[in-house]
Amino acid sequence: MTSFLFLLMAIAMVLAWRGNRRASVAVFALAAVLSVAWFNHHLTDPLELDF
Amino acid sequence: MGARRFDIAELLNAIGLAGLIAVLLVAYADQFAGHDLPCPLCLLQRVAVVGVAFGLLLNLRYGPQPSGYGIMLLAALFGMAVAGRQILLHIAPGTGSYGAPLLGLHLYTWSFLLFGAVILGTAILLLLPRPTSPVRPLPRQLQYGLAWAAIGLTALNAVTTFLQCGPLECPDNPVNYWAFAR
Repeated sequence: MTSFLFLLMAIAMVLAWRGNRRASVAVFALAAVLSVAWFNHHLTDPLELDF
Repeated sequence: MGARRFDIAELLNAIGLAGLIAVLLVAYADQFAGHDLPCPLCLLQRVAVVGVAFGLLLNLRYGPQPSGYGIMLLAALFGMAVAGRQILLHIAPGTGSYGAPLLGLHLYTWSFLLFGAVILGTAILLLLPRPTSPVRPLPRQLQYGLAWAAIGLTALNAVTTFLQCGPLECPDNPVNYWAFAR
């Protein structure tokens, strides 16, 4: 899944560099949403904090 | 007479992109030379670095614009959240750490500081006035070199992350590459 995020980012960069700004931002937005979802998925370990 | 000065904001965007390329190379050096496999949160911090690089690349390609800076800020805030989470996982005494330290700090602590620096730097870049007279564009080879280095490293991260994690999820403490473990 993380490799897919890198792939989306690479596609967004290529689109941006080739002049397709709107599509690149759309692909970046998709990668950003998936990144937040994937981060949320990894927030399962409890923090060992004791106050 | 042609313009003699570069746009300082454009120049700083190029320097920033070069810096992030160096960060991605250091991460690779730690992974391959230091045999330190990145954990899932480490990889998400790399994704955030790439996100900041995307904002810089937009500014390099289309000229400095608020949308490029906004993307940099969003990616840096995401990276700070991930790095902060990883710091908190190991903040209590006896909870260990992940990976070997570099210059006294773990990579996730460096990462947290880096994203803070990105936010500060972006705020300063937003304060810079736009040039009112014609400026010299950055050398084309420099722009292309930086852009394709960033794109290449991002694509390479997609490949190496797939080799390490496979199509699904990386283990919390990876010890080998998914592709070579069977």
